[in-house]
Amino acid sequence: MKIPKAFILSLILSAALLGHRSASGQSGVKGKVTAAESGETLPGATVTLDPSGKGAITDADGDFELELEPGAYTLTVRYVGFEGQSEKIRVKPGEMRTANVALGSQTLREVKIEALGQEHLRGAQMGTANLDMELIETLPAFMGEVDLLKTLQLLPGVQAAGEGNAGFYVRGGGPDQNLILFDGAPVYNAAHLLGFFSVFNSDAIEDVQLYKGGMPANFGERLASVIDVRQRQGSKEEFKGRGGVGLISSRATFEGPIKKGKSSFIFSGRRTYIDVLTRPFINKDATFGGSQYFFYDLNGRLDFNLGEGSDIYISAYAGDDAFGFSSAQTEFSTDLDWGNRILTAGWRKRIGEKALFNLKGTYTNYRFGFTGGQDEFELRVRSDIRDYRIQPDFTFYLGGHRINAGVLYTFHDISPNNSSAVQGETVFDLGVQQQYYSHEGAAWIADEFDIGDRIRVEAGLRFSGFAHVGPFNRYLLDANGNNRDTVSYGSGERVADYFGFEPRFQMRYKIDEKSSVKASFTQNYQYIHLANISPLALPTDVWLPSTDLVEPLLGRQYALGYFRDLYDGKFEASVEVYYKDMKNLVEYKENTQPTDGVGNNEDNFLTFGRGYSQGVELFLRKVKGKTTGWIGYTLSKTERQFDALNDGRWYPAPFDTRHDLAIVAAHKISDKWTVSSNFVYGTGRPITLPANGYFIENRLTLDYGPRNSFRMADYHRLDIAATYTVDPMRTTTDPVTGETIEKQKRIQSKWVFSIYNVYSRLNPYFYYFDNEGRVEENTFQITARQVSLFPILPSVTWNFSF
Amino acid sequence: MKRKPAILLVLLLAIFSQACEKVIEIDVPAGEPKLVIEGRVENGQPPVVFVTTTRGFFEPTSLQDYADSFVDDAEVTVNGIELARICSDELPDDLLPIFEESTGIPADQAAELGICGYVGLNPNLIGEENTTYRLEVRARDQVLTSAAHIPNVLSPDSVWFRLWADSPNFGYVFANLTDPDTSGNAYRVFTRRIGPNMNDNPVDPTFYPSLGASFADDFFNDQTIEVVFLRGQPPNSSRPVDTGESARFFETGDRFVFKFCSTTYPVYDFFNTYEAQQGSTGSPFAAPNNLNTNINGGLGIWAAYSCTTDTITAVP
Repeated sequence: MKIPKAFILSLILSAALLGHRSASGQSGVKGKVTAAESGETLPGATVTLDPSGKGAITDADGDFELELEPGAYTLTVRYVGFEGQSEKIRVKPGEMRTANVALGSQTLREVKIEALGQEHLRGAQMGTANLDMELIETLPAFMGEVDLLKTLQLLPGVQAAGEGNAGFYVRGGGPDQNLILFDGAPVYNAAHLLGFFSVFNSDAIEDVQLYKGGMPANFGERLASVIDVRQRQGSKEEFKGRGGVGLISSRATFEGPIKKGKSSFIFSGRRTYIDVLTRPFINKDATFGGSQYFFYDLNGRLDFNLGEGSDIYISAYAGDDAFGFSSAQTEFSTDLDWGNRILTAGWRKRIGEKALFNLKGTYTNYRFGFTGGQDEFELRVRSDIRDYRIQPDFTFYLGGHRINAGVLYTFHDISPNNSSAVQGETVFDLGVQQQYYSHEGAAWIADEFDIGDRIRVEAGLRFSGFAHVGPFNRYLLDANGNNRDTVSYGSGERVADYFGFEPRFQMRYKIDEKSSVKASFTQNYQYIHLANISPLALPTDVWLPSTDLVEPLLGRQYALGYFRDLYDGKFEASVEVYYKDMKNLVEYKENTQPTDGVGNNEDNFLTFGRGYSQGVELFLRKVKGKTTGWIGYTLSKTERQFDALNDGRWYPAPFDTRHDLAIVAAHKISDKWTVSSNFVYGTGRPITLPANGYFIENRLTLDYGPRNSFRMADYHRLDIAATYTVDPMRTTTDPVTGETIEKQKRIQSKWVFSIYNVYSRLNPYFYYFDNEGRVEENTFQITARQVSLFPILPSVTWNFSF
Repeated sequence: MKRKPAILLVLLLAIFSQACEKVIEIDVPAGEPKLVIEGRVENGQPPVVFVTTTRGFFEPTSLQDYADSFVDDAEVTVNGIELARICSDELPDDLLPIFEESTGIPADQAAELGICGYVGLNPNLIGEENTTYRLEVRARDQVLTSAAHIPNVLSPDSVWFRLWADSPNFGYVFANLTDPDTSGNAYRVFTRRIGPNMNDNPVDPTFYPSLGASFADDFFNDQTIEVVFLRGQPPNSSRPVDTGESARFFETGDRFVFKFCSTTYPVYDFFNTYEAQQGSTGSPFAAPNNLNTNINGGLGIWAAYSCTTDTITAVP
């Protein structure tokens, strides 16, 4: 997509003008923002001065400076992952007042999902939530594995994909409608082990920000949500380590300065060891004797402070799942492997006091591979996605306006389900391998400003475009699905392109000091689609770009909310209602088989439809005191309609959950003990069941009824956890004075005891039907069975740091 | 690739061995009954058509219920020639084994159940290669139509038995097949153990389709390939030979007929979805798909085959 030069030029000129320092002798405020615990400077923190409407962004050294008229102000500093802080200051004529601010990192002492008090009243944004890892680590964890994506599922409007599953659905959007960013790079499959664990190692994560409603204009690409995960920076002051030993995996993280105060590194690793532990006990001659499974993650990040308000960083992730199965008895073997490779490089430069320039380049690779063989036959299937992105953007203050503008370019290289097969010397003709090349671009500008004392507006406009280019072969099919012709496109030749505006608008009206109402409108285009044959999200699911057949998804969301503080700010409450419509949703046509796309275009087997989602979300949370937590409840309805499916009738989306409830609580008993629990309830997932049966060749054949017309049993579960913090001090006697002295232990540690599914509820994972006996012997019968995955599961994890 | 969902299931269940299951009661209202056709015409054989209706999936299915699902007042024509209605309770005893061969229902029970089928007794309807057979069924105030084409006969180049891996007794059947240069050729294989053999394995009363033995030349058009087949066996069979380690294998000493049939793509398409549905029952990864029928106005299949047979003795 071509980016208008004038747009870039205007951004540069704006920044240059803003960078011009004002004459000395004026009054104002300046200071440095640091992390209270480590003393690290915090570049990119937001500083606002109410009621001036002015703001600034700290530079790479954490410094800020603002010119102000003399008077009284409330200075507020915000930084993601840290407690926000406000203080009253008075600026005298001719004085450049110094106000250094040390932000406390979020600790176990307060469990919270958004650190800054009253932020939910002040900000224009709605449908957002910030989770910090301290909170996540406190809550009960499935099999002891702390997982930020599972914690997201406890928020209203976010629904779990299933038992123990890290996948999720946001406000009626499919799993492909969530943009998961890891240090700015998209993650296509954020799940290990078919979705039971997320790829995010908690030790390596700073925090996660969820946008499920009013998406700022700097985000797009997906309809439903953005999950912005930020990796931790290493300490620039001292060498540290942390880790954990759990039942199924262990992890370790090391960090420290490269050049003290200037640069740092952090490296993390995690690996499961089910395969290692079970190997001695598995008979190699057994049916599953050749089976093994493991996953691992490696994270790393380097940060360099270049001085003069400039810093750079490099962030990387690599993770894989590997499953192998072989049976000597049946000569059958198979290997499955899938994983992500992610690399981000970023440069941040403060320009003047009021502008910050960010430049980010990312590389993402997601791949899935399958190899199966029996005797001389071998089949290989590979799917591969490569994204190359570059994103420059500016954030600057202009009067009372906080403006963010930027551009994003992505080159997509997607090869779905490419297969090859051989048998002995015979090579099967599986046609030309599929490869989709495409360019995606976006430019945006967003402005956040106040109108009077009560109204805050965040308005933005995003313009996005997409071009599918050659080389590409389009197979034209006849009515029977046979290839009747082929249209070939040369390298770089345009196959299809799409453009569209994505307006964003959010507004807050402050009723009084304790309550406000907000409204938002968001329009999004999505040019990348996930097509899944199975009702469950799997690594085999196929990502496809928009093409000449597949138009981009279009979603519009309208939301209205009421926000209120209760009991002197101890409680925060909100009610949000939303309505979202979606066009150009994709599904596979009825009866598409996994092999149909071989030697063909995968998108030839897709069909297109529309959908909507509407709901009410209630949220009540306690943010202060020894006991903290929240209650989130969502009442929602999500339906879809495809002309080619379900006889064209509307049907519930597979993840439509009428009632969704989460109750989360944590209580600090003492300095040593913290206990927590969560309870979740959700209406049963809709599924399609056979309405009729008939016999073909004496075998029962199923005639399915209306799509998703039956619901499985409701889902509910209670988890509890207790965290024991080992006394960080040790007592010794001074050999000289004989006095008793306390010293900090070299290794700090915690034990986390967790019980998943306390009352061992057998929640349905799937239903199936077993038919036994023979009709001609009068012994035929059908039995419906429910499979549940996890009864009560206790676990213990030892976490350490030094 | 078809095996991917199955492998994922193995992975899931192997890792989470704590998974448990229980029998549940499900109340799903039955849909409106639909007419189902199960018909075939084969080279050298008369067309045979059964017309049934669907039943509520969770309704009890006794042998009598099954017999009651057959429609005995249909008007069935092939190429405009009406087929004769033949009911099991009207058949002379010497023809009951032929009925058993067609339906799998034991002859003694068939004589008591009035199960009716429709057979083309007109010599003009005996199946011939390269001929199209148009079916029309009138029943329950509905008209169902279909057409099926018997392709030219194609014999495998060779067929042989081979033991698998470490087994001293059990094995598969292999065939070398040279596919014609026209695309869209489809095949289906049946086996029938005819014994006697030294193992005293029971003989099969009829041909049974081999599991996964419906295939098309999508990926090997105009090539010679080696194909492996398992032994066909009755559905839900409780015979010892059909369970345990001998299930679906041929055993050394077995004598059996290997029936190799050419058919058309729509027939393959139906049985491909049929086998996928049979194989995926219980898989959480399988999409709930109905079969790709070639019957206009109803369910089922009107299949045409051109078949050849080989008699094989399983000798390593």
